[in-house]
Amino acid sequence: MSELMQLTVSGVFTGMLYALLALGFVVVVKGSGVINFSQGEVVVLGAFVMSWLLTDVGMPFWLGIPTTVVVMMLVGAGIERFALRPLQNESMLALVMATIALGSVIRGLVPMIWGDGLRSIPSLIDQRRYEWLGIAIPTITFWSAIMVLILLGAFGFFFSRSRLGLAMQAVSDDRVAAQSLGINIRLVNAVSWAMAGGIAALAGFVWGSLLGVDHRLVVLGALIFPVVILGGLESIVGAVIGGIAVGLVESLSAGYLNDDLGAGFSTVAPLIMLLLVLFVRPYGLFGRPEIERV
Amino acid sequence: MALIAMETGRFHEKYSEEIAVYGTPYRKIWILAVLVVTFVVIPLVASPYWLVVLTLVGIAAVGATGLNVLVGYAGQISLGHAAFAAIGAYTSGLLVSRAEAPFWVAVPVAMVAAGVFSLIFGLASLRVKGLYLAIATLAAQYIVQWILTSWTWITGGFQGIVIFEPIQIGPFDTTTPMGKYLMVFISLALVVVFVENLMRSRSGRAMIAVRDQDIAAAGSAVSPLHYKLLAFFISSAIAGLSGVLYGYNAGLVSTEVFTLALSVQYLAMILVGGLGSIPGSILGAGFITMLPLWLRDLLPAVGIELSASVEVHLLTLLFGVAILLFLVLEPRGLYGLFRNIKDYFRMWPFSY
Amino acid sequence: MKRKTAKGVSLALGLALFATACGGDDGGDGSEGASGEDIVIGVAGARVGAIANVGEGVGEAVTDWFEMVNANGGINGRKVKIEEIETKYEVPPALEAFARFQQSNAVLVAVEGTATSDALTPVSEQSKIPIMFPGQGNLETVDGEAFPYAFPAGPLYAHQATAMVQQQVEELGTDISIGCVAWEPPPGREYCAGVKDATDDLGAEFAGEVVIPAAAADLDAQVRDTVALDADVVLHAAIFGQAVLLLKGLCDQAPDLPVGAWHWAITQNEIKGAGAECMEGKFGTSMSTLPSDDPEAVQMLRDYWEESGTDPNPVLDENSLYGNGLYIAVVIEEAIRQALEIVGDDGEVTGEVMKQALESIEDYEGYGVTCPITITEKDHSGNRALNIYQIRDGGWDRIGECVTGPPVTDEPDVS
Repeated sequence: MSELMQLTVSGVFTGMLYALLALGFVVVVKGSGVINFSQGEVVVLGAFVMSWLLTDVGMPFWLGIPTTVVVMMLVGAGIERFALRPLQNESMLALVMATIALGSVIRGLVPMIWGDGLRSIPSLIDQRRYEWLGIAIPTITFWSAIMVLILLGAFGFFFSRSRLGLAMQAVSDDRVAAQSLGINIRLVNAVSWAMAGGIAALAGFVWGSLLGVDHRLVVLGALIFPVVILGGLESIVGAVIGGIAVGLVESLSAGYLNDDLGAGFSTVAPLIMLLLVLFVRPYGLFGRPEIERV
Repeated sequence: MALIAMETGRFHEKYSEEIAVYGTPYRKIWILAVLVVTFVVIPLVASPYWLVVLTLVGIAAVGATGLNVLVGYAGQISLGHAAFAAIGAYTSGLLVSRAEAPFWVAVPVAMVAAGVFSLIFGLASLRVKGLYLAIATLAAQYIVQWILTSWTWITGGFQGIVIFEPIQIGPFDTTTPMGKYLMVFISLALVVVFVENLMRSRSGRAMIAVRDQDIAAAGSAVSPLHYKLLAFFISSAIAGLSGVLYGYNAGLVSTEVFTLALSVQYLAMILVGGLGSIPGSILGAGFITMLPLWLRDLLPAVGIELSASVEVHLLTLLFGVAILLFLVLEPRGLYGLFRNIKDYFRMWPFSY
Repeated sequence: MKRKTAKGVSLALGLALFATACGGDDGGDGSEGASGEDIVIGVAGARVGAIANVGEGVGEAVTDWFEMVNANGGINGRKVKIEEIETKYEVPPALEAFARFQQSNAVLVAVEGTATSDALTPVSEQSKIPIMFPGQGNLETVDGEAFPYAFPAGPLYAHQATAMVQQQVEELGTDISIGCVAWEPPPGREYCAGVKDATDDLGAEFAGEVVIPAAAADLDAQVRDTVALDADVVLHAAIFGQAVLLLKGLCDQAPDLPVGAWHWAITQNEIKGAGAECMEGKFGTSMSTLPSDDPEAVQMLRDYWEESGTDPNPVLDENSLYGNGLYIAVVIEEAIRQALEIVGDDGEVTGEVMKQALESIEDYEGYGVTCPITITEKDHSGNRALNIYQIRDGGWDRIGECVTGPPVTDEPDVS
């Protein structure tokens, strides 16, 4: 029983961190409709910038974290400006290919700047894990989950209340109609990518603290998809629920199924879930079922 | 001589002309020339080293041509073609080594297996509009890699090694660079003929119709799901063939070979070479396979010494940059560039 | 029209078959080291990718060593040319690199990593150029009759496991239980199979196996499973980032648990990554004498650098896998020396001669770097002995010298 509790609790908390990864993806879909295959790489870049500023440059946390967020927002806006805007009238195929290409660019660029070795992010809190009633949670995971909740609240508010947020919703609904209403599509696109960059900086901090900073973090990019397919490609609430579901599936299958189905089943369990969801409900739990079946 | 310069444009007046293999007499000469160079000149003059390199290009070209059926003609993206290549390679390797099937049984079965396996992912994602296939195939990539490393009862042992018995028929012997080269390029020729014919058929045109206007296609009694699945099946089966060729070329396959990076390389090949073009797939495969060699050999020649690791990362970066540049500047890829140059001379001196 | 196409194709194919018949044996004449010329050795580098750490150590050490050998007049007057081509630990580049080595008339190719050494095994046989991959690779390759051109020439993963168990049993007695953490890609599984064999053999208890999936980023569940094995000692076969994560997790959840590793996981990378405090007391195997023990080979290099005024290679101190590179280098040197014994100092060295030469290496201790190596026509393993090091005060302390564990069940019989 206590094992089940432990697995459930760590699943839920890790799931919040998956939600953070997925949030950057969802924001881009909301703002520009692009399925971004490079969010994993952008997170890796964020983690490297963070690690570099905090260790090599020696910035304190209160300066290093915001600086990284700003740098990554600029990177995001830059990606939109130089890689995607030239393609804005092309097919979705071209845009998606461009994000795959961007992934390749970042994968090459990062080790050229920072080398192949494993880097680290200094720990913000000395204590490494909290324990209540025999259930242990890494400190960083716990506080990150809290941060994710606050962020989600902020984004929820932004998209439902602020002018720019509503404009972004409108653009993702119908680009042409939004444009004819005088919404500045370029601005909306740029803002959504900048947000994705900023979120990636935070995700890079969290995941880099947990796992160390190196190219392996790219693997996380693949886990974005089960989250957003389950939650709906452009739903913020969906990202959280999807994230928690993925966290639970992974944690529980690691606990109970790995021995029977082959070691490492937990790493593909979320992907199998992704396929099942596609079969049953391709627009996800919180997506709008207007996806056309053809 | 004057007559040769007369071809100033190509205009089809009848459907039979539209679907003819040789649009112009020159096309026939071109095809013959390519065949002669591939199967006579190169085998006679190339050194073993170049045969090895060209063999790798040919294997990549088979995979890229397959992927182009999906991306170029059906407008869908697959990030799992390396996984389908793995299915092909393992199926044929196991059939030959465990069931002692002859290769001419094992290879077609392997291709069908790769195609059928891919349909699981196609059925999940192609029913809805949009690029969900890219997501489902990304999952396929990870799932297949997991199966190969953890189900040792399939792959036979911790190393997951499956040995490919060489094919030896008379003088044809796949243990020599020459035999490998011929095996790969004969396969490539067959694939090219097949895909070229596919595109002249109803099925090929239906795929393009679905890519360009799915609703209109559905209205013309062309089922989008059916043709997207068909394109995906064919594309994955050809990827399976490239996996088989890979196995015969190396002599064995192991689990760590068919990675996501390979899937992305296939995409880079067709984008750089030219979407929806067979010569483009081959050019792209050549370009992406040889780029590392050129970088390695030419940079030191012009006095730039890069460390091995910088060179490799630079390549990864260049793949991405090349895709982006071609997307923005010349979406028809290298073959498009080639056509532009050719058209310029064909139209010369009237550039309209 | 169609019939003409068919005719054209069949004509071309006919000519092609003719070409095969004429040129089919082109592949064979690649491996000639003409008399008196430099002897070319290929190194299929892996400085980038999954095993970058190993690639760096090996690449640097082999290059440094033969630079020194050549500066001192070569081996019996013959210079050695090292040609390193990066493969990123991927197979197609490795095949291309091998063809290039063949074109350069290389007589031996050193390979790093199991995937690439496996992939080059068939071509090495086809082209009769031996490949050598100490400390890694597939257990089957110890059988020289089944794989005549593949030379592990050093302890494989399973040997590293049995030696580790042997040493633990010697130290703690048979009344212990040993758990194993396998890195999912093949080598790790082979390692844990070795641990199980050795515990059975020596009368200790095997507490069970936990597998780390190759693609896993987060190892929390695996760390918990490992702790739950409730073993007295845990041995692991993780590498690099995953090793660091595993070690960190174990330090966190079971700080007093003794943890041992194979030779790729007690390097500076782990000490830096998991923290010196965490790594204190951890132990592991090494096929070579570590550079920090200053074996004769390292002294020779340092002397050479001092005399020639070259800057010492920083990798020697920064990456303990430099020791693995020295192991490879000194074995190559000995093989060349044996080859020149066979064909004479000005004779023509070929791949086949190098195979014979490797197979005549006997009780070779490689300037203090290797445990005694003997390679025979049947047994290509070279040796199955490992040094065992423990991390103390951030450095390495040798606690076992050339330890050999019990024989491994799955190993082909080569006696």
